Amino acid sequence: MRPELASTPARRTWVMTRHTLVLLIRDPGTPVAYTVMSLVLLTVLRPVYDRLATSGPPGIVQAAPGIAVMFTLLALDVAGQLLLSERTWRTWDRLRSGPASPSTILAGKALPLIALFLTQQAVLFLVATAAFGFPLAAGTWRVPLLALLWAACVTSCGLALGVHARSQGQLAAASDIGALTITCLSGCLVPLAVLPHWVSTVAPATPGYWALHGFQAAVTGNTHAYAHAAAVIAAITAAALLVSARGIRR
Amino acid sequence: MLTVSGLRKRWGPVQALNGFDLHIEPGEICGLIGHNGAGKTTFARTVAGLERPDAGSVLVAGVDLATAPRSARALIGLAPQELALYPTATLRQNLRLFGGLAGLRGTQLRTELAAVAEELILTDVLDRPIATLSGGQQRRAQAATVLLPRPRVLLLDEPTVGADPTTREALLRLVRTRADEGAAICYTTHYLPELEHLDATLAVAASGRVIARGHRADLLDGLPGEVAVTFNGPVPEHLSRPSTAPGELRFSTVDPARELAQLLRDLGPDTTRVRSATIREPSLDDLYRSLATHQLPTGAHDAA
Repeated sequence: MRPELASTPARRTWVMTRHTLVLLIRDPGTPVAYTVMSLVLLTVLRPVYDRLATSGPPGIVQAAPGIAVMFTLLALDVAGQLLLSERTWRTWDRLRSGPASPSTILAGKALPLIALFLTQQAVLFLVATAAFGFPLAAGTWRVPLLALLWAACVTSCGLALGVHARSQGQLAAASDIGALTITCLSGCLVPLAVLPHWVSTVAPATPGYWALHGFQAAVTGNTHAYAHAAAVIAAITAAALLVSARGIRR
Repeated sequence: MLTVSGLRKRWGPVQALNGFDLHIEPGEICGLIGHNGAGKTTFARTVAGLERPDAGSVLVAGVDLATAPRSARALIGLAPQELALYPTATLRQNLRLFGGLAGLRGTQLRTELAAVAEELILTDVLDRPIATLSGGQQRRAQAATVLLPRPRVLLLDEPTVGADPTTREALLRLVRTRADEGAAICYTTHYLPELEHLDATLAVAASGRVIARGHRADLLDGLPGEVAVTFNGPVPEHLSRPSTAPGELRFSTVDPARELAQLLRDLGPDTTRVRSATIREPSLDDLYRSLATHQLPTGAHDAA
């Protein structure tokens, strides 16, 4: 008999992370589509945002964060699908019956997704900066940090959906309706200033609102608003992670 | 190596496990047989830590599953009945995942991965996605992911369902090898000749518990075999057994060889009238069929 194999949680997390990357790379259609679509929408809608921005920051400060937030939200189903597929493929039980802990499995799923959503936002902000004058430099470290927080938030919400969804249809319905509702109510697609007043009242109840305002605060130098937004997003992330972790232990 | 005591598990009104006891020694292959609903799969899932038992204990190499679940699970390899692999990933990527989670890495992982692929005739398809493999290759691929880390306890739940002869032969050979290396193996199957091929001990499950446990010969002792004799022409009238078909005698008996010898003696000197005579010793199929009415053979002991 061979001596017992030794492994650490960190090593197992790396193995899970590497495998999740493999799965994402082997089926890259959806993330690539969302990235391309976000760039197309930014290009087409930027003049509209410029016209709407009669007062306050320029249109690109509304357009780039709004579209970045919207398309990371639409990618919720990519995160959920990663967990739901495990059940469809019956590999979930194999992971659970192995030596990896639930938190290791969750971390191994989350890290590549965070990287993916971060990349998606980075591409959009870089193109917006290079082509349309988005003031990325004015945001210094604040934009990357908030992009990371937002990527973690969307990842944890998507994993929570994936843990609890029982079918593809259920996941698609929850993620699509959720993403579209949040996008509309948060002012990501259309600025709150031109939406009915009640939308502004309910907007703070959506995580998209805090992401949008966090990015805007980052580039306009409103430190207090930035810190507030970052704290709310971090709290939502923690709550969603808790929901995922509880679900994954069942 | 694996000691399961008094395992109980209830699903609503169904008592899936009702005091399931089983002990498997290192190097032993235990064939777990029983009808659908006997509790075999629930047993495997509970031992693998996928279900929490209502009562009872599971010790894996002395490690209690209840108090040290992760350590216990690290010693167990479960091959579920259904295919459970990542279809979009290649076989190599699947093997790297399951081997890596078990602690294999670097040169050791590459060496053992190549070895298990060769033993299961999968070397040529290592870099193909699982979804593109044939049914038999997928079966072997699943077994490879379980056998690669060489777990101390192997739970194989009908690993050869739907497998072609090549797949079956390769799987059985590797299972035997793992047992020879010291693994304790619980092999659930409905294909009883496989257990004879593996020289497995037997555990017979019914109604959520093991009702008979032992070596094949002990369990078969007392079960009826069969004698079949065909004649050139009608069955001689003086033979005191009813004819089952024109020109044929066929009957069950616990001692087929002695009964056939007696029948030939009764026939007298005119043995040219016998066209053929065959005996069939009791088999695992007979034992399995006897489960339908819980008629235990005389040699079996009640394990409950």
